Amino acid sequence: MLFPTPTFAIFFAAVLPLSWLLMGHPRIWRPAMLVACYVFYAAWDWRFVLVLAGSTLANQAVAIAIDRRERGRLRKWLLIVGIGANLAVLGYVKYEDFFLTSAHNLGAWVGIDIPVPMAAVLLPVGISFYTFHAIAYLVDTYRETSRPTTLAKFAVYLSFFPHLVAGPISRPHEFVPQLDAPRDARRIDSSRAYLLIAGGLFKKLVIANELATRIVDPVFGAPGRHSSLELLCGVYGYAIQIWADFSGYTDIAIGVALLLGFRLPQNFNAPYTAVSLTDFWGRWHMTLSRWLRDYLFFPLAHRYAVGAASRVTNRERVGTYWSLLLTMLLAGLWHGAGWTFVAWGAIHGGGLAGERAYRDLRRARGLPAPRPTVVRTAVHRIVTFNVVCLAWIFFRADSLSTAGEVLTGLFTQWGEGAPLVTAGVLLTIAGGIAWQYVPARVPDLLAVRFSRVGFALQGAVLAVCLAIVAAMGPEGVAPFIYFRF
Amino acid sequence: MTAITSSFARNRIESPSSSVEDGGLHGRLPATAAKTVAVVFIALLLGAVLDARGLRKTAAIQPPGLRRDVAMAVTRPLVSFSSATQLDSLRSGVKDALGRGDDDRITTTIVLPEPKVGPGRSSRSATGTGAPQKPARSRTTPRRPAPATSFTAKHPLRVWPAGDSLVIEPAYAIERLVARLPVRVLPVEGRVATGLERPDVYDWFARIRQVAPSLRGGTAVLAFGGNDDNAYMTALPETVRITAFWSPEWRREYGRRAGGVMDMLANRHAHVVWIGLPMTRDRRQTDRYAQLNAVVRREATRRPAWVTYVDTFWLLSDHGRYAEYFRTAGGKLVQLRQPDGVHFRPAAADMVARAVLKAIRKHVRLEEE
Repeated sequence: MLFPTPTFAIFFAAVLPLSWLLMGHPRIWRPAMLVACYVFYAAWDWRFVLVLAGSTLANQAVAIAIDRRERGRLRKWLLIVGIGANLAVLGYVKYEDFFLTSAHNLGAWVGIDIPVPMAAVLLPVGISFYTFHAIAYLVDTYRETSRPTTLAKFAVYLSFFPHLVAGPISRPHEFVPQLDAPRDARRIDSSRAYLLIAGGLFKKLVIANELATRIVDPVFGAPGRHSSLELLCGVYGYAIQIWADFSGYTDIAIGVALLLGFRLPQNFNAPYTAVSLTDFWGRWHMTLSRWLRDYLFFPLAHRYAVGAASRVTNRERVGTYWSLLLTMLLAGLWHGAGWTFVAWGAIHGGGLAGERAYRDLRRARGLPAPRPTVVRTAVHRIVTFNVVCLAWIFFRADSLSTAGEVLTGLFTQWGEGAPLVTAGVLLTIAGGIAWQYVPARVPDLLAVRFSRVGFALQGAVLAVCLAIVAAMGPEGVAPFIYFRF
Repeated sequence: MTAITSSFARNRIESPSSSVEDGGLHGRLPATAAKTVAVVFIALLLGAVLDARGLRKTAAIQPPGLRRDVAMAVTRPLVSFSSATQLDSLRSGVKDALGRGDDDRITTTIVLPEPKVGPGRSSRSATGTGAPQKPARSRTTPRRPAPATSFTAKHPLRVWPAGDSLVIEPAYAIERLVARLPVRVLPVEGRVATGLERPDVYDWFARIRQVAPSLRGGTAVLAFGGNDDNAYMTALPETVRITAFWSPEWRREYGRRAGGVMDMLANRHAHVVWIGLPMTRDRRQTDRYAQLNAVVRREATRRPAWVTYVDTFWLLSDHGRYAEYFRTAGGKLVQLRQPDGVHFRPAAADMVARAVLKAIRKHVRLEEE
């Protein structure tokens, strides 16, 4: 059930009043919301619900077992088994093909014929995201950041339909307390929700879909047949497409949750205004970068942290660079089993490590941090955007050779015609970049004004917005890019 | 440890729970649940009226069944009300401004070149069974192809890939394959979930009639049928009733449509390379695709001068069985299909593209640059 469809509109029109009617009775509300979430998920394939329910029961059992143990080895082993089981399921459904073919090819190389079974593994939509939620729950229980909650609350946390299939990834201590007491039916932040939903629909249906069909898909389909200008616009177009697609989805998710009275964490903050890769990862898919930082990077880097905080050893420095690289390589592999994703991770990991090393070098020489001037900031933004776009080439290409063709073509196919570079394409790309630079106070002010309008007028304005976006969008809705991750 | 905390992302996520406690509204007036529900209902209901024609189209193109019936019943009064009050002019205005005024049109009749043979003979020939018959020509199909033309860099062959989603990857593969040949591949028109059965979803007949004149001397690479393996066919002649997939009526009508498409292009002196349907992971779907292929192949063999059928059913199979992988000459396994077990991965698309190019070369001479 995709958000921008009539089916979801009907589903939500039923769930919204029901949720508020039952909100005062948490013992009824939780199972009712759980049923709604499972119905939402079963709309893809009813078997997905079995996987989700199984994951809920297993993770709750492990979390309780961890919580009941005092310090000791068993507690640590329970955590390792819990995380391992989550990753094993994720790995099996996501990478089964990759491992089987790799094993076969390796076998062929050494002269052993390893048969490849033709098992069609069902890949549940959004499994990565609820696995991340589950791992966060286990680790936070182990670290005693939060205690296990009841099964019903945990089940709602894991399956809450606004964040079920593509995030944002909420931490247990952010979401579960919101389930402790009924949400306040007199204080709904609805005007912000409407703005997020309308903006998210526009990003997905108009910006992302237009760029995908008009330039990105043709260019990446046969890069050798397109001019350098088309390739350049295709790469920039993809940067805007993936931002519009994914941030559009999370905007709708956050807006829908707000209407139900729940707050989900922010996931995007004008990522293409970043002045460095470190800054970029604080603005792009913020909840994933936070998850990677807290559950992967910190444990990795901690292995090298031996000295006092005031005195940083070389071992700690190198360990930090290595941990950054490894974290991003694993983040790349999470997106898919392929060398293109490894290259994407290597560019980001290498870039983050390089930035860190440069900063360390300046500090070691006693140089102060450079003063941000207008020109310096502009140059940093342009360089960062282009490094991110370079990484996007590998992310979008179906193979390293395709990525190589795009990169080569960017420099060697100038002077040819560019029929795909239309005014509409250029305008959409420019609009997508300009969107990043809209000051945060503008939508805030808009939401404040909109909150003061009568409810009938609010409904009418929203209806007009929905109708215009529906008319501008293409027939049918392409799946969100991040659903396959 | 403090030294490494700022190395990764400088994440400044506002904590949702804390922002609830401190108000978190930043000057926005909060709404009550009742008002929120009211706004959502007004937005959805009025939005449905404003978007009635789009919703009607969405309802009409659903697969047959209860869901479609309900959607059609609900949208019928919605469209009447919307057009009576002229509230649908917002949508039509936006569509017209974008040059997509036809998006909401629901085709109920199709126009095809008149076949020479009667329906009786056509139905027999469309079964795909029995002894090979002498290919019959459509009345309007030119008897002979234009003499094999030589194409050069100055006068490249124009190739138009079109069809359902199965044409998209092969189209890109063709573009890659002909990089050094005098071929200009036009932008692929791959429309997801469309076919020849349901012009109400997308009217390919009108589109092909529109494109054919500009394709004179060129080649159309078509792939249809991926969504046509069912009994539901719209825009039928009044006298035709279809009760089941692969019934004589179905075969006759589908053959008429596939043949009509071929004739529309051939009449404008454009060659047709028709990419047949592949085996899929689903055995029952594979059986239906084989039946569909039989109808199309029969129509293609009736127009040998203009139409070449490319058989992907066997091309991508492993000795007659569905193949997920293909073993290269070096013994390496490459995956052929997408996770859905139907669509092509680039490796499979490359194989199809080579077969298409071979078919194109039957009709034209392409001088390497």
